[in-house]
Amino acid sequence: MKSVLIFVQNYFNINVLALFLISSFFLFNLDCKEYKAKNLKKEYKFSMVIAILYIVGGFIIYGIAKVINI
Amino acid sequence: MITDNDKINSSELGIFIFLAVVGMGVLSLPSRLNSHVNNDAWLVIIVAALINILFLYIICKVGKINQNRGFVETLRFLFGNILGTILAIPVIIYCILFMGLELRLFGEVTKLYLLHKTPLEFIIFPLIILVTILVRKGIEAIAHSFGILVFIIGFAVLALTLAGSQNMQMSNLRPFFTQPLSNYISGLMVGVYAFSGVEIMLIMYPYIKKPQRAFKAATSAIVAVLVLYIVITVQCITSLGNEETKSLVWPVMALTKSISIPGGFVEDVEGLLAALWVIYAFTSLVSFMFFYTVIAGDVFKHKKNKHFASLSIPVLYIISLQGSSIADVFKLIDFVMRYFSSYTTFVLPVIMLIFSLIKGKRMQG
Repeated sequence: MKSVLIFVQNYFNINVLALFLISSFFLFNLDCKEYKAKNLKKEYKFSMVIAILYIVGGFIIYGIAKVINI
Repeated sequence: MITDNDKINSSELGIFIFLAVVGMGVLSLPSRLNSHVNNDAWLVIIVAALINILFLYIICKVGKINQNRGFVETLRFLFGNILGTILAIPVIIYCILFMGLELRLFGEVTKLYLLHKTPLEFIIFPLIILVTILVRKGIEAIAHSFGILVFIIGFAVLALTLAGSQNMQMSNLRPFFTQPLSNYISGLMVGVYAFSGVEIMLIMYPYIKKPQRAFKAATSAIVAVLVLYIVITVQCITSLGNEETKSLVWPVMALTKSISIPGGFVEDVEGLLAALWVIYAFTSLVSFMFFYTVIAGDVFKHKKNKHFASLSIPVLYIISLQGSSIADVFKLIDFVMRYFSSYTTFVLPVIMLIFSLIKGKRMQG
């Protein structure tokens, strides 16, 4: 657990958060829209879930990285 | 789902394989080989290329037998649904780790020779985005852009090679075969892994217009890479000498320092060459990301796979920052090559070929 927290503290900075948000932008605005238009339900759901996970998870992990002090 | 306009011809396939194999690793290849086999490095490269061509033949044989199936589909056909999927997962991990480490090498070289004051993160950042954008466009867009890039970098590298040939001392290449056998074996391992990228052929068969020409095209690409590697290694040994080549991390970049263009119209040749290798890093990354998205899409049984490129962005960035020094990065690369590359390039194709032949005979029976 401690090594995971050290990893989070070392690597989850504002750049990583930005990349999580850019990644979810691609997933939301490009992939989800295209898959919805093409009626690819499985791909649409998968992209949507990952995009939401990236936004929520990105902010949570960034918050943890800021708060913890190891 | 592969549509008709998602197919490439054999010359595009050759360029694809060539640009997938040549990456940032070539900048340090002469030094890594020389530390094992001294001035026989170029001989080891020839043997390494022959080994890769042999395994390329096996990959192509598997591809021919299972022409209408994708890579993961073939694994599932041969080993069943669960085992087939499990066997494909290390290949995905390999692609992600390879891309992350290639990004790091790109960042280190660019920082050292082009953008001295820019933080590593901001060098890596834009490249990941650019690679993702191109991969999302599909194989045709990738093949067309590679078709343009290969001539630009090919011409520039050739011009720089000719300019650098004035300082060569061919006597540095002698004597031959003076090292113990164990050194040649360890050097051969380095040489064999320098051709990483050949394994992309595992997924290429469904995307080729004329699959019967695939082996010829891919072999031509390997021969072109071999020529490039030999030229670079021989130039380093003959211009810098054995000991200096061995002691440098990026001997190819050091080599360019000794180049002077007649007339002096290009001042910073080193910077120019570093800028050229950026393109090689880009093409290598695009090839591997395409490789990864196709396999990941097949593993999840998705009809489209471009979202896998999008979701890999932060993961690649985090992997690229692993290792505190360049020595750590090379250790990580050795680890990835020894286990994941060996599995993908050598172990898996052989197992697939054996099972394809057995299954084929059973079905005939």
